[in-house]
Amino acid sequence: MPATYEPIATTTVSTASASVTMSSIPSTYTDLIVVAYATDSTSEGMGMYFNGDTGSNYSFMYFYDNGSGGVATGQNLNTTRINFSNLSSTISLYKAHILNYSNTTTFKTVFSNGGLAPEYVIAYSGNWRSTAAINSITFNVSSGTIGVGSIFTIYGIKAA
Amino acid sequence: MASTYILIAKTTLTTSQSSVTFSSIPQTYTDLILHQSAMSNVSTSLAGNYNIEFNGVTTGYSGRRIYADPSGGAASDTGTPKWAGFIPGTGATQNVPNSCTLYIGNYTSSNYKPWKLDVVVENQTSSAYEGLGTNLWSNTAAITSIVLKDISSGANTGSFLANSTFTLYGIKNS
Repeated sequence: MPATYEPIATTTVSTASASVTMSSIPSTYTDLIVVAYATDSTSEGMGMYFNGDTGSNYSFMYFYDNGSGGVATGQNLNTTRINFSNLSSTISLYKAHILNYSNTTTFKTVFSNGGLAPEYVIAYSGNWRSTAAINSITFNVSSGTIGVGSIFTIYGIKAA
Repeated sequence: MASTYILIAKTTLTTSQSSVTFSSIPQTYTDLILHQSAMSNVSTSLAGNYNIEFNGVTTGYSGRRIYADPSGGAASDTGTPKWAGFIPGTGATQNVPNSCTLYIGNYTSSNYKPWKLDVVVENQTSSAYEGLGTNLWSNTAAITSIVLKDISSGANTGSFLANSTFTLYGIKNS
């Protein structure tokens, strides 16, 4: 059986920053798993974009608790990133699955879920309209900074 | 490079038990994944809930979840701070376990410990529960043991049934 769920890279934030980039992702796996264990200086969404592309080439949908006992949904089309988490000063845990990331034929799809207890739980699905293989991922926030001690890890999954 | 999705322990029940314990969890991984395929004898129309506790500590837990219920609706709540998942009870199709995965982050660190879970319970002929939860144990101790317990549905309580399986894996980020 081939080795799988291999750690590709891990980054621990040592200086609060608006973004974290993990590059030189090899194309030798089938899928990628991203685990984010993170905080933020404000309460906001954290997104990811690929290969430095900040064009309006992303779309995503989501459902989440609405804070009053119900569930709400939403979507963002033609945006500059895919949201995959909501952060605050409370430690949060999210896991994203990026499918078939190294193929050069189809667009790339992502689904993720997680939350920060007891404030928020959310699930996302999104796509990047590019046929390029993903070789870098940038995680970013809009108004605050990703907190010191936040950890981002990328794992590679092999189908065979 | 080696795989890091490493089996730590697997338990398959041979008789009904009110709880399942993983102890002496090695401190050599980054995260833990707990896969569960479990059934119960709790008296309920379809699914009950059950809890997780770490290191035998009963306090410091909080959580939020969203779920779809058999009526076709969806809801959220914060009333299950130790939530480990939905579990089928006496009203469900027999011998169809839940499918539940907990991801426990950074379990050896001196920070608080978050976990997230995905679970589905289905009754083959008619209905299902599906849930997504996020929880936090506000404790700085490394997690060395896990207990799954407290199966309930309203005032009813129950036990895990024989043939329920619980598998704990360690994930390394380097």
